[in-house]
Amino acid sequence: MTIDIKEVLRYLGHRAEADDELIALIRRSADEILKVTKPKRNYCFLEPVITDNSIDFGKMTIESRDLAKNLAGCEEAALFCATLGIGPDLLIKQAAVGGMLRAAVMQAVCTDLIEQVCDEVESEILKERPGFYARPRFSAGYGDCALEHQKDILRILDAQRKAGITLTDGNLMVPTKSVTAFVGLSRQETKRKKVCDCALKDCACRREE
Amino acid sequence: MDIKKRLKDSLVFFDGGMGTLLQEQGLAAGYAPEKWNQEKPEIILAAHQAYLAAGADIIKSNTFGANPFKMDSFEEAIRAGIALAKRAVLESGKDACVALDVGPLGKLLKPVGDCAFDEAYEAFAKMVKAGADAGADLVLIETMSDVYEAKAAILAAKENCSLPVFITFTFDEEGKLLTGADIVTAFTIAQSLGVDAVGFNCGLGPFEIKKFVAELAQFAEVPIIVNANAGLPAVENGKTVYRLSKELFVEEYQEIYASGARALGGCCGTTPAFIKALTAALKGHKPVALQKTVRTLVTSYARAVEFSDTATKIIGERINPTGKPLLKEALRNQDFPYLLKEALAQAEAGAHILDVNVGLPGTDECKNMERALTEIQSVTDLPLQIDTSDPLTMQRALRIYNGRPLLNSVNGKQSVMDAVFPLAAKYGAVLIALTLDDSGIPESAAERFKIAQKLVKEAAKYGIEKHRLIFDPLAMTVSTGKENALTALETLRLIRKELGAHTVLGVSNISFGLPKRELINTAFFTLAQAAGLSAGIINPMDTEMVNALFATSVLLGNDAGGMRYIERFAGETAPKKQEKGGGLTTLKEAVVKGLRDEAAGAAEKLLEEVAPLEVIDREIIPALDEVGDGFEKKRLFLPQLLMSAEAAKAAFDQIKRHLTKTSQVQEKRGKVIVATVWGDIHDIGKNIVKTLLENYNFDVIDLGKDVPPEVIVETTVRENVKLVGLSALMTTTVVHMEETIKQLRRVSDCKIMVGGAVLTEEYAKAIGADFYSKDAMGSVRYAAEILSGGME
Repeated sequence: MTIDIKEVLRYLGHRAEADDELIALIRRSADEILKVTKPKRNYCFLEPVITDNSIDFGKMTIESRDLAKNLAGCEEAALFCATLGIGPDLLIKQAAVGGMLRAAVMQAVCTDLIEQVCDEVESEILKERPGFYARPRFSAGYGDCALEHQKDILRILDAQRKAGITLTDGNLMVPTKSVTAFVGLSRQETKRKKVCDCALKDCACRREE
Repeated sequence: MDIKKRLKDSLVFFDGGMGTLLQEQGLAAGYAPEKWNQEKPEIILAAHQAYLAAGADIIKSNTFGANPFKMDSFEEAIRAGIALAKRAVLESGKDACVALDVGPLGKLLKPVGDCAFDEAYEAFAKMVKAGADAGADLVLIETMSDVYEAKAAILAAKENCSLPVFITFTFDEEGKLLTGADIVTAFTIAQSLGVDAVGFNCGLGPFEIKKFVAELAQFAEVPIIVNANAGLPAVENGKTVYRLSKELFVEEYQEIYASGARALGGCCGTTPAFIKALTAALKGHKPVALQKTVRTLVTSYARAVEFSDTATKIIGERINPTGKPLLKEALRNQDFPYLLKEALAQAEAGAHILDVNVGLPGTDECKNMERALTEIQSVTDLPLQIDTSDPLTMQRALRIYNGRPLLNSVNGKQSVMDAVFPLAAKYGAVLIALTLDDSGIPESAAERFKIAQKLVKEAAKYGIEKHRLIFDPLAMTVSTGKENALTALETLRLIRKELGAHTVLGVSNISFGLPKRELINTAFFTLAQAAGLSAGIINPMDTEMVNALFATSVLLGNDAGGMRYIERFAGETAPKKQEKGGGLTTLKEAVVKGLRDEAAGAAEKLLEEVAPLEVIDREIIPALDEVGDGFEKKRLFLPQLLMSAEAAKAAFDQIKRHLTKTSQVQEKRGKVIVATVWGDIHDIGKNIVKTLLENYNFDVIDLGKDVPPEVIVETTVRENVKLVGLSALMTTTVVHMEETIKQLRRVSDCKIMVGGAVLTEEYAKAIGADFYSKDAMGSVRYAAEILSGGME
């Protein structure tokens, strides 16, 4: 894997040309992070049945208007989990002892890396479903979709054994550099927005065209 | 069947996968298989029967995930699971036994995860009790991917039943556990805790596991188990499949058997047909005997360090308050980040093991030791040496330490041996053994050697072999007795030659009271290495000492081809000039530009003439204001803000050093608590806020992440804090933020500021906060307003 410096800068909220020193720091941090990164993932296919705002996946049911909207018109949905492993968590903690700069840069590097892993999983999923298009990824905790569902999601994916992902009592994932998401699969291509549509209007890494 | 006895002279066969069979019977992915013990007992029973018919000697109860974190009625599931397995054995008429199958809890332990060690222990204890009560014949802890969780499980099994305890780990293809341990580390820990068999299961197929078996066979002290998958898992159409045929599976097991494994079975993807083929091929074969090699290893959670007389190890001595005013102050103020910096600096300088001593009158040693070990282990994977003479601290430290501990120390006093050996035996520690006893430190080498012999004899009573004792022949300062160095060296030689045991020395004692101590220390360290010293307790920041170690290794022929020496010094020409700034860059400029070294240099220089407070007010604060202003106006961004913060921090460190030297106390601008609320583990934002607040000279009490409301309230009241900053990242944890605010309001009139990704101004108001900070600078401005009348 290689990092995308531009993306890392965006995650850092850096909205200007970066100087050589910062770029060098990002590259150094990325090298260190990559050394301890062990990406793992798993996925499965589900057949969502949507009634109003309730989605029945067979193995679990989710009440969420936002997810129902996301999956509307999909015959099938993939559910996946992906993680960078525990290494980055430990390294970031270690870096923070010396100061938050390196830790913050590493954090941004990890965000870029986990996105890349998610993209890879998504393309694998699409390879298994030729002729289908993927909807934007949707995770528990987005909009009105309760984070509580992480429990079922990880269980269905056997995520602890297959990817080493566990949950805290508050349903947050450990390793923290982990993602779970639904990917709606439909025969129609839906236009994917290039801008962020999340509620945080003044978020530092907001993408606007 | 007496399984331990059986394993002494014959092969034993485990059953294969259970999940695979149940899925064929319609078990849905994500549904707890253990529920079928009560819901569909006939299917579970049939699976056991099939494995017994295939020739299995040990069947695993269907209780892998029956734990309090995954199921409400886990104890019922365990009782039912054991009963079914026992019934299958009884009805088969075979001499087989039932293993209580204990899988991982599905929680990661602190400090990485949120499950406390004691909590994990309690969960395992309940499972073990339920299984033992129901009549299990042994406990099989399996699929472990974290040594800390494994330690909790082993202790729980050993303390709550008298059954044999087996453990198998799941490694990845590189031979690493999820939390980083390699083969040597994981099995050293398991064996030191006294398990009866060790091995591998799940994750990999026999092809991948066989080379690991060969590695384990080199130091295994108990029988080796292999329960491999039917090949590596592959995902096909969103489902996990295992493709290895039973014929190839058995072929690989022939090699595994030849490498010395003697309990053989299967895991995911294997069926009764696999076990039948396996028993057909290997039943009746004589087990391959293992050669016992004696190694002295201590470990962290991820790394093992071996004592040897041909590669002297460095034990870093810096975390010990004796004679260190800054560390004393840090311990009194609960400033653990200071300890972490010391730990990392020593690791960077080349230490192999770090000594941890937090004994300081007027502080709670036991509590501080636990916190120090936990926190240091969360930032470095070097093994730690637990250094205490307090039995309670010792007991707790040995228990919660993540790895196989090195304990400093035991000595020849009967009362000390009586107290320390049982603890070391139980927790599998390696011991530093001082050659002194009730009559003190003997004058002669012969007398010290006698004490060493006594220690070996007494240790043996507790099953502690002599290779677990690292003898300290005791270096006394040569300024009070000219024979002191020679006596220590002579004792060292005797111990090496007559006992063949390892040795350690607190090297720097030798020069106490003399000028130019480092010269004496280095010369003595070199002599001791020549005498076969296994480890020196030294200051690794003393480059000359460390260099001497590398040079001496070459001279003693312990560094083949001088490889390590060359690696250390190759490419090194003239020593780098330390540009400490000061000349061209002012402190203010250095902080604005984020130049760490320059800022430290400029501050050091400035402090020669200017009062500390003035340095802060005239140089550092204006610089930070300038950067903060640029940040708020979006001319500068987070990286620049943090670069300046770190430069300012470097300057503050100089100020602190200056103040300690001149016995002054730094005036602070008022106390602020920062905490990431209960349930939330994302603390980077909180840490950035903390850094900036400290830069602005606030006295920050950092309570960490996942902090219960009660702790925040209690600290606020106890420390009489007027400003509390709370962070939360997720909508779900904002609830705990609200609860914390509610509880604070009841007992304190402090102001509360909040921040975090999902918060907004309105939301913050709605949950009762006084201030919403949209970024780190906002919190600094608010703190200044509340505690010291504004920024200017």
